[in-house]
Amino acid sequence: MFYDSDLDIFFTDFAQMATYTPQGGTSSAIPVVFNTAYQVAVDIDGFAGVSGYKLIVEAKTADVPNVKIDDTIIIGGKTYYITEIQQMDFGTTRLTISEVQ
Amino acid sequence: MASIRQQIIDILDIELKKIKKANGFNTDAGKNVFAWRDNPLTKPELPGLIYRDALNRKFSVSPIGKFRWALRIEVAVFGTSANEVRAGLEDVLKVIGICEETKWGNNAQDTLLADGDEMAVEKYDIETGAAILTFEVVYDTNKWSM
Repeated sequence: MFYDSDLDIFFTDFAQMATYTPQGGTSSAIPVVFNTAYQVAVDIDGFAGVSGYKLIVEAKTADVPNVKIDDTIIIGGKTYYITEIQQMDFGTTRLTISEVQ
Repeated sequence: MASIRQQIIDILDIELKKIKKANGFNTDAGKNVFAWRDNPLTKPELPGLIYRDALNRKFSVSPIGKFRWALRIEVAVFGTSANEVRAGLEDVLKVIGICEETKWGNNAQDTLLADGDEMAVEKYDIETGAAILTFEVVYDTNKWSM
């Protein structure tokens, strides 16, 4: 079970700063935990597909309360578009991001 | 002497590998051509092609003393955008046409394009797309050979 204080420790220990910008809104600096998951794309009809990565960042839900698809997040100088939003039960929001909109 | 089926596949492989912008094609997919590859392509291998001769269907009626076959070949085109995949599809179609003009080295009676293509595009770290083009090469062999 995750508690608010655990969440702060988690983000203090593992997060990096990113710039989150909602569409038509103001940018803010927020801590996020960046992660990747191996993913095979377009493996249609039994063909092998293409090796890739699903890029995932985890943010405090309080930092991105109204996050929407296609909002942007800049990490390490690179701009990513948010393509999937998963709100977790323990106060974080997991965002799948992509270099392309 | 290689079987007619093998000769048809060899011609396809040679012609697919000619798909290069320098040869007047839309893409350089010919630099990354693989037969029956079962592990995923990597980003430097895009655009790329994987082909497989998935089915060799024998006609129930054949010329006397012959077997008539329809070799079903699937070519998958992979690229970094939907546009690139469409361009690659056009290149593959052009190659099939070139092979058809020579009747696959005078080995085939006809080339039939199947229903069309099937395409998908997904976005993970980058955009990737794929499309499969299916066609059949109809050819005759002596009985009990392919």
